[in-house]
Amino acid sequence: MSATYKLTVRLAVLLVLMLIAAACSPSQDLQEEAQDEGQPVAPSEESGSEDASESGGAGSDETIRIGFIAPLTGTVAAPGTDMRKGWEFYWEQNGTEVAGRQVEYFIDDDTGDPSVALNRVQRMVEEEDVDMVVGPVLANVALAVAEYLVREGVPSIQAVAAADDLTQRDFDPLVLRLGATTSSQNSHPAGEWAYEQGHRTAVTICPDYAFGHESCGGFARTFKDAGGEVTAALWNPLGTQDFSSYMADIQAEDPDIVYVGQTGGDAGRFVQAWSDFGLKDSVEFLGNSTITEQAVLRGMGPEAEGLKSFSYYAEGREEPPTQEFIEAYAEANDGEIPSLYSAGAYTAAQWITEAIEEIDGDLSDINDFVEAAQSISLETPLGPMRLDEYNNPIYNAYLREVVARDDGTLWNVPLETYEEVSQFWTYDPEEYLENPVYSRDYQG
Amino acid sequence: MTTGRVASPRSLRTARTIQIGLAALALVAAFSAPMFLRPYLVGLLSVTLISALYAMSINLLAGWAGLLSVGHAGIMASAGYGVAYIAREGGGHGLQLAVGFAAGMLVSLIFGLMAMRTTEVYFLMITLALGMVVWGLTYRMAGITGGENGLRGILRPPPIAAYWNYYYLCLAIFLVCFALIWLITRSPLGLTLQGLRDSESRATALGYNPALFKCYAFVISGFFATVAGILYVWYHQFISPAVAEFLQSGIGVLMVILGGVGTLTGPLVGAAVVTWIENVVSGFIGRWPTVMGLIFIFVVLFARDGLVGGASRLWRWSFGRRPAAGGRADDASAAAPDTGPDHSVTGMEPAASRQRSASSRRAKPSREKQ
Repeated sequence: MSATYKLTVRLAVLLVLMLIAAACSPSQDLQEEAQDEGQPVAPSEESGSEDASESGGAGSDETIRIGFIAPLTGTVAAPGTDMRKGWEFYWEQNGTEVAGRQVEYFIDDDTGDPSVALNRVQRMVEEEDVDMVVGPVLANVALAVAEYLVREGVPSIQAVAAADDLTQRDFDPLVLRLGATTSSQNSHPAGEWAYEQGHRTAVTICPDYAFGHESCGGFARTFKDAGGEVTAALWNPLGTQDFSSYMADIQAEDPDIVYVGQTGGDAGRFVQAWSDFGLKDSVEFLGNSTITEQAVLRGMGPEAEGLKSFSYYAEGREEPPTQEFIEAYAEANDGEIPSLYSAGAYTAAQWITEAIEEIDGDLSDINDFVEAAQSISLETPLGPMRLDEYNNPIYNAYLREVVARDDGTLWNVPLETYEEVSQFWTYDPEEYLENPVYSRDYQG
Repeated sequence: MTTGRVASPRSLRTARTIQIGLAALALVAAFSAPMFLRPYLVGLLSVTLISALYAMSINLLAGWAGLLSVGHAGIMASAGYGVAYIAREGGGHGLQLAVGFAAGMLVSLIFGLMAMRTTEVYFLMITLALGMVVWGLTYRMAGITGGENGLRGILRPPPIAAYWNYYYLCLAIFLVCFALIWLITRSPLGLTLQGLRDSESRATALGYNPALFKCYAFVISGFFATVAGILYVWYHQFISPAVAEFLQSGIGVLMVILGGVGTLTGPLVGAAVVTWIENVVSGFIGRWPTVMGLIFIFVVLFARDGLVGGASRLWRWSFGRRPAAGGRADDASAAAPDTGPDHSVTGMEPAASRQRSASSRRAKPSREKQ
């Protein structure tokens, strides 16, 4: 083994180390920047939250900084990526200047894991000085992130996450659900509609976790209150590969109507099984907002046609805000019809823009922004929306039907529109909140 | 430090000096970090230390007892949920600590009792199953665990609430646990475990009860995972079933293999690499999982004894005299006991892939036989 060879290896190792050091350098620049801004160099008790609020009070000539977090890798990457597309599309379409100020956004990947998301959001707040954070997708990530942001005094904008308690029992003025609804909000009208159609017995089947419990809970509550009977509440594990045993259970119960809340791959498999077992022709089907959602529908065929569901988004809605959005989005994305997640993120961006315009771009007191977001009502691709006093949208719920378009793609066309739907439906908010959140044990 | 190694006292002494120098440097850097790093980075250091503690608990079993657990996330999560549940019920921090500790230790005892009679792939399957049971329970027992939404509103005890106070707490606990593990591996118990790992039948013939010692080892390992779980939940002030997922157990094993199975500092290096790639590199490279994958492939191909083992071999090869046989990690020569040729991490992976990712020490005997 020659000495030159050894030297070469030593040099190579040195080179690699230097490259690594070079790769780390941007964060060092940031560090100097942060120190230039007069951040305490030595640790002090009061860093953290005060830093964030101080920098929020930057002069109006500075950029508006928005953090955007979504799962871009991992098991929920599909909705996360759709959400990102909707968000980026809004700024491409409308430009990043709002009320004379530039908007700068920082996209980060939460991987669908709450602890990763917390680290990322912490970076956004502490390193990027963001004025607000939009996202994420999953309910448990959303709850964790929202709690941290509230502690830091930074608004948490929920554009997809549907956990009821974000705007109910865990209500905080800084948590705003813009562009999404609670899980049960679309199910409440569904239960009442089912009863009005003359159905008296129902079976509910939802995935066995919070979103499913809340989706089916909303239906069960209003259906029972109207006088119907839920003969069986079925809970399938998230990621069910084979729905045949559930189909057999449903056939045995022989209900008038089945309320189904499934998401992602489960939704596709459920609809396939529903058609394969011939239930499509014998039992009435009613779905939640995610089962015939566009991201799922893209992978479905004729088996999905004619399925009815309740949602806050109907791609086939004829009003201009919806159709203009869909056409422009399709043009920018190879003819793809935007999914619920894209539309939600787009709507959130629109809401944020209009709220900032309302206060002329002055974010020095973040509460002004929150109040502006609460006070405006706007026409969005999802329909007319405004916030209730718990920061959750009052919106149009649509009874939709899956219809094939001329080019063969499927979309949801509204049959009936329920206007001004609140997350508390027709119940009194205070009484409503005295009940626990929907769970396996509590279905209204 | 036994047979099979011919190293001059001088080179050994130099190696010692370098090690002590490096360790002192690392300590000074660790203690002064909050002085010149921003809060976010100090937070990441805390996360690194907590992950390292968790990886060390897996390494204790994998490296010295030859038992690869893929259910340790279950222990960590149990401890975390213990703390979180008491916090939600309004209990004080002392009670949180006690219940968290009791929950973690109870679960590791149950794991130990269930797994103590198995080895290799069966041990792996049992720990996998038990880990999944804990994960399933965190989902199902929504009344206690908050189900999928998890538990929030867990506040740190006031004296350690500030980010840098918490960092020093993590650092102190990490150092104590590091020293404890060092002591355990050199204690009669640690030596017995190595004996069992190398030849269970011989140890049995000498009158040792393998099952009993495996259970001890599991509970001791569970102690460190419990500590990590408590630190984790107070750091994030939040817990959800994601902590108990198989993925978390897998990441722990990944950290151990990346750093070096059976080395003292390996888990720390592995945890640092994983944590910083996940949080810092991801800021520059969208496809950061690819970076992680490439590093992992690199380690498996070129440094099967992990980054720590590989680096010290490179160092030795470059500057020092080569030991005649069984070249081991620098830190291993100081701390980790040097064991016979049949030093393998059994039950690491299904047989097909074991050859690829087991430590290089595994490969050595066969070479010698050739």
